[in-house]
Amino acid sequence: MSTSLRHVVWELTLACDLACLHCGSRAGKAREDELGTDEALDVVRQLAALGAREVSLIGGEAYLRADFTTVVRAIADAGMVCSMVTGGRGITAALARRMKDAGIASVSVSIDGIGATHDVQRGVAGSFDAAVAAMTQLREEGVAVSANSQLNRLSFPELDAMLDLFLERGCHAWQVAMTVPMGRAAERTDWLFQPYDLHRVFPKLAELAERGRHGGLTLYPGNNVGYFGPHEDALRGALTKTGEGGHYQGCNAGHSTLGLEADGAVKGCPSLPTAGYVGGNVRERSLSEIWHEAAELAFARSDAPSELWGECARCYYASICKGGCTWTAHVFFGRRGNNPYCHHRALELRRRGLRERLVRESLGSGRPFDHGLWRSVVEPDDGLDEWTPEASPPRRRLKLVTTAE
Amino acid sequence: MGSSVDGAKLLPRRAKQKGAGLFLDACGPAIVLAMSALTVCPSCRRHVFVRDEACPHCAQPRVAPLAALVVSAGLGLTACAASEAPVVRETAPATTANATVNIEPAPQHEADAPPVAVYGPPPIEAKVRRQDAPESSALPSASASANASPKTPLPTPEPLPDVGSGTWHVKKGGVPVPVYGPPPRDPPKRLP
Repeated sequence: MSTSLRHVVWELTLACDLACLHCGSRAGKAREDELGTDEALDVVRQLAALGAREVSLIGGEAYLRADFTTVVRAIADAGMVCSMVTGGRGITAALARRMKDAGIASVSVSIDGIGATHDVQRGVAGSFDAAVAAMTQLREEGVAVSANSQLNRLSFPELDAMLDLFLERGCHAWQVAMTVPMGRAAERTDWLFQPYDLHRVFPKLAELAERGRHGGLTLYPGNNVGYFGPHEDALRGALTKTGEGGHYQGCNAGHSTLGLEADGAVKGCPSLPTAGYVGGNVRERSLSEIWHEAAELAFARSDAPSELWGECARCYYASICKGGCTWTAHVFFGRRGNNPYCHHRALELRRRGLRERLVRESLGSGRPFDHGLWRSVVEPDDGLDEWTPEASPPRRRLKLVTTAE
Repeated sequence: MGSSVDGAKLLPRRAKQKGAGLFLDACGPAIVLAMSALTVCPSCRRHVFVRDEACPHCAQPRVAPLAALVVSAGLGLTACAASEAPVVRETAPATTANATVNIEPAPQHEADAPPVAVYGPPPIEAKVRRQDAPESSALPSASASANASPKTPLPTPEPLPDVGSGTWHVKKGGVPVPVYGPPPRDPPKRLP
């Protein structure tokens, strides 16, 4: 793979107006020493010089920064595409207009279910209605709107209804990603898929992709939606020019993507844990130096699959896949190179009469981007599924935030 | 391996016109295109290395890309597209235990049956009769059968580096022993 920065995902602030129970970064309060406006604008200049083509602003909730639209305008003026991922709770018509005027190209609104299912995951009553309203406000101001969703045992039964919603709201794309046990999500063991759930998940994703295509919506499997099962071509092949043949190509961290934390820490991917994956800070070194020289950003640039272990080490696709999403593998097992969220792997185990089950052994530290440790247990596949979509975990009675802040 | 192509160029036109902003996670769709090391089996739609002469999932013989082009141009070479090929009624040779692509030889009384793919299609019936776990989680190696008489030897795939499998037995009826992950150290912490 070439190493050429294309896409930057920038956590502009860790402050957030939602309380997502699956938040990997435990967003809510701003970090202690987030970049100031001048520092942020300098980062924009450095990103443009490094050849970045798109900057996606995330959080927390990026619009909570007073200089949010200033940063958006700087990115757009520098010739880069500016996009955003948002929970949408605070996007009013006025804010949508300011975002459009500043030059934002596209906004992806996070929706993890319909109504109460979304509200439970986002920890705020009414957040679903707010997210849908945000889609409407943005579209009315001429901003391209897409959706993104967590794939887990809560959202899975409602994926069809969610697609209907996104088609009706004019979304041009829908990105889905597996919920993994990072941050608060590590405490939601009953939400997370077990690897044997993938036998249900992938046929449904392929069906949704096909239905979405007919409606003008492109379903994008996130990079931890893995890999090389019978629906790989339907999901990833369909995204290529020819409409077939495409496939997952391995972790892109440090290849074409870069992640920035709000205090200036630089990683190869914004999802990766801070510990062990931060290659430097923009307050101490230039972005160019960090990008080209930091070892923490270079782990995925080698073609050698030497870090693979467990089932991934002996996989037919090892040399291409290289253990799939580094983030997913690391937050389960504390090291990369062995990824349990893989359809091909689940099928191979089933062929041998086995299945894999993940058991949590410990929790994380309680800091942003923390994770615990899990154990993978391979056991006889007796066909007795512990979960069916019809028996989703009951929604907890949560003390939800109900007053406007 | 697969060459990298600018993913932005491959976005659907509508998405391109509406700007990017499609890549929630940092990596963006890591999608590969032309000149990849993998191709799609026309029979089962699984991805197969172009070096493999048969699909490891459904055992359909694979046609090299050039041959497929020539056939489609109507020059009538004997190599047919995999989806049109007759079922190969011959056994495959034994390969090494380290092989990642392996076709088990058919038992002698099924000598006319097509070769059995190592990966194979997933079973339709999800319920599997409980049985003793295999001694090893390694793929079944094709034991050298004196009755197997290969006619078309398959290439031996490159072995993967040995990084250790950490395999333990999974015992029937007992507490499953972890195959992967860090070895248990202390008892799990109690949840608050």
